[in-house]
Amino acid sequence: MMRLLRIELQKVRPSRSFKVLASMYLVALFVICVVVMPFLQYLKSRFEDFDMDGIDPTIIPFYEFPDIWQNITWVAIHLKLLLGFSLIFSVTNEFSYRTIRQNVIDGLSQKEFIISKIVMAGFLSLASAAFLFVLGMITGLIYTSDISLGLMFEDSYFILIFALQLFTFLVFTLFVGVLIKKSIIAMGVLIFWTMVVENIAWGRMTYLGYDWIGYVLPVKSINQLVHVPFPKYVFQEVQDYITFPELGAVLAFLALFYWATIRLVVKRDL
Amino acid sequence: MDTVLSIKNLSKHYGRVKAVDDLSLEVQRGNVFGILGPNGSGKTTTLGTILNVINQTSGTFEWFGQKGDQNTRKRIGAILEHPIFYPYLTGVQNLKIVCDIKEVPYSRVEEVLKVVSLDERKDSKFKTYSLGMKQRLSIASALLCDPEVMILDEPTNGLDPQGIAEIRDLIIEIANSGKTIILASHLLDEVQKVCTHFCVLQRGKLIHTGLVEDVGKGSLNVEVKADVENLQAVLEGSGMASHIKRELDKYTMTMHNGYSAAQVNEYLFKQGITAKHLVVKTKTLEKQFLEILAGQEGGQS
Repeated sequence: MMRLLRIELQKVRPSRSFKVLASMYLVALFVICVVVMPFLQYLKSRFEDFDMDGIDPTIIPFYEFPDIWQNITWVAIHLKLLLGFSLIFSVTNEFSYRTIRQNVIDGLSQKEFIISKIVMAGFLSLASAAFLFVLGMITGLIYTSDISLGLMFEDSYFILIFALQLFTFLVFTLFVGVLIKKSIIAMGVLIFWTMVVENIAWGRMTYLGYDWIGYVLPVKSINQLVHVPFPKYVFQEVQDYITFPELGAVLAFLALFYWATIRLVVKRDL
Repeated sequence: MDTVLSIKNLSKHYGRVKAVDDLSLEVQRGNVFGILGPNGSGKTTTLGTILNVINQTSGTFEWFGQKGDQNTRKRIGAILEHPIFYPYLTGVQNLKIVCDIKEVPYSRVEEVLKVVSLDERKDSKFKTYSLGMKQRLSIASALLCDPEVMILDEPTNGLDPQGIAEIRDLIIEIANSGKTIILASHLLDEVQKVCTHFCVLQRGKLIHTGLVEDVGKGSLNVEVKADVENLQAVLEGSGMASHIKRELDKYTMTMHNGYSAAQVNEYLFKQGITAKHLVVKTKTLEKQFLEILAGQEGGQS
């Protein structure tokens, strides 16, 4: 497995498109963890202008342990498309350069080839989760008023859930990439599916009362694993934990796309 | 002698098109084996199948006496069609990936780049290479694992005459080091210069296999010119030729066994004729190839 990861890293490290997309993603993660507080402070100053004393948005414990874990993972997962693009690029390029064929001729089996991409997806997910964990730790330590070890790590399992969400999504993007093989079209399909198809299907079906729709749309399933945490700051009840049916749906999609992606590559002539 | 590659009844059909049709073939260790055939005769499909990038419709093949898989492929250096590398990576970076795939140490990279004399440009991106350099890089890549067999598919395709000569010398050098080489080409001259064995494919079928040195053996051809009206009759009267063909003022005799050009000369002299042109023609592979193809087509119709 280390051999496959090493091969994959050698392929992408010098690639400019990969570097640009990956650094954009890291910067975006960083921004979430840094920008919200100044924004709240800006809101506060505006409220003061309007002479609305008594409303102080900065007391919202967005960055405080343990709330921070659910908050930042819920926001961060919405950036997953950026990372998905870098992976789509790396897999569709293999088809357009025909390097997948040469890799197989050189002595990689078709299965090893696609597993090297999946290992890379796992590596990217873990690296992002680790990065987010470090950012969360730092911001949490800065903004939390009374720090205790128990509070710090309470709910930090959201980071692991984040890694799972990201990994499932990346395996889904690999599937799209392998299926379509053309980078621009694959990216277009991914955007269209994620932003348009799923949203329309979801909106329509929930309107009609079919709430199970969230379980059969892959990207929605991934997103709904962590629920929106913010309404709790206006005293509404939110689900601040993970449920087994929702986790099961994500794991099922992961297994499905893992199997389908490998099968697509192994069965096809190169 | 041990068998490196053995193909049994291999077929690949694309719908109704039979790209490879019931092909059986054996390549022994140390052979330089040429696969000849017109474009579209199934050469690349055959090579793609024995390298597991194309799934065969039926039939089997064995490398080194075992079923071909990724581990046998690590012992083979192969290039199919044009050189394929990551364009945004340098020569060295590309070869390091191949090292990791074939599980050989990175130290081989410098060695093979020297063999193909590409070390000066090793740190330039692949996309900046000329076609000749790309071909040389792919030969370097095929040499990385010190392969027991090299497979080259049209290695001089698209090169200028100087590039062709360079690559050809390189192949002969590699062949002299004792490696088994399988070379697919539609350039007969190339196969004749480089190979020891050859086979001919047509529409996916194997229609001939033999030794390159046997080409030109068998019946001898002698060309005769002389300023005599009835030369054809005189030559026929000699009884030495099984067949005489006329091209303008030149007569080509296909000789019976045991007769040579010297006897023709002696015979003509006795008849009071001096030949002004008397040449022994050895058959080229090209001629043999065309004969084989023509024979095949004649046989089918």
